[in-house]
Amino acid sequence: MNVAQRFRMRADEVGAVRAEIHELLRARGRTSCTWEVGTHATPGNLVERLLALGLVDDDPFPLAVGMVLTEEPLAAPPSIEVREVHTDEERLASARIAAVAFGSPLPTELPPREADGNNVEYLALIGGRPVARASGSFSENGASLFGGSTLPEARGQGGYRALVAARWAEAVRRGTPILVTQASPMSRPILAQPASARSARSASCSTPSAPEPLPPELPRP
Amino acid sequence: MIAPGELAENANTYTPLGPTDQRVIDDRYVLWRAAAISRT
Repeated sequence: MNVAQRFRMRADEVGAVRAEIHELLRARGRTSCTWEVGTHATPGNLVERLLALGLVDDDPFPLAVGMVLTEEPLAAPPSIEVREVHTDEERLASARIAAVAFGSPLPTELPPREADGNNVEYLALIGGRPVARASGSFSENGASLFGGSTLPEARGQGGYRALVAARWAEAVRRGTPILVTQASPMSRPILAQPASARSARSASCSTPSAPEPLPPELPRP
Repeated sequence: MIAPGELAENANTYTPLGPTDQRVIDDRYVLWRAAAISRT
């Protein structure tokens, strides 16, 4: 996964920055990148300029809303169990839910991963079955919420809400009761429930995914 | 302390890096590269 963001450039630098970022991706064998153009990005028409250079709108949600929660979110339904992901079995279950939700190929195994106390994965289970997953990235600035995804057949039952509540509880435990996220249309209504929720828009477009690492830039005429 | 609005708009700029994550910080952009698909 690659994300470019916090753009602060002049209009005549856009082409060079695009080429520079693609070169950084090529150097790592990466094939795609999400470009998140926030409210304060410059130049002001950056999305249009990037689209003109060959990037494409993110599908299906080209517009995310950055949200900040500073009050306790909705409580989790008591029937839903939330647990941190520790075992290989839990990691695979989490990755498979994400793959279904984001339309990626279903993984059958995962490479080993070191434990990381600041980047935590969670599973939500209904009747003992994993139905939703999410990540929380904890720092002195609060908790960033990533990758919230729920199996289609389990939506509307509170799995996502339970995962938000779990990350809020952990942020409170760490003394940083702030949650931030880029919310999709599906998660936005849930996150907007506390009166303290604030938001800022962020357009999102992508370098089209390629089967091989990004090709070299063509020489300019 | 980063302002919450800035954090929400540019979350990947400030989140702690995982063991295999990388971040390139430039005056004009920030590029975050991670192995994990699940942090998107």
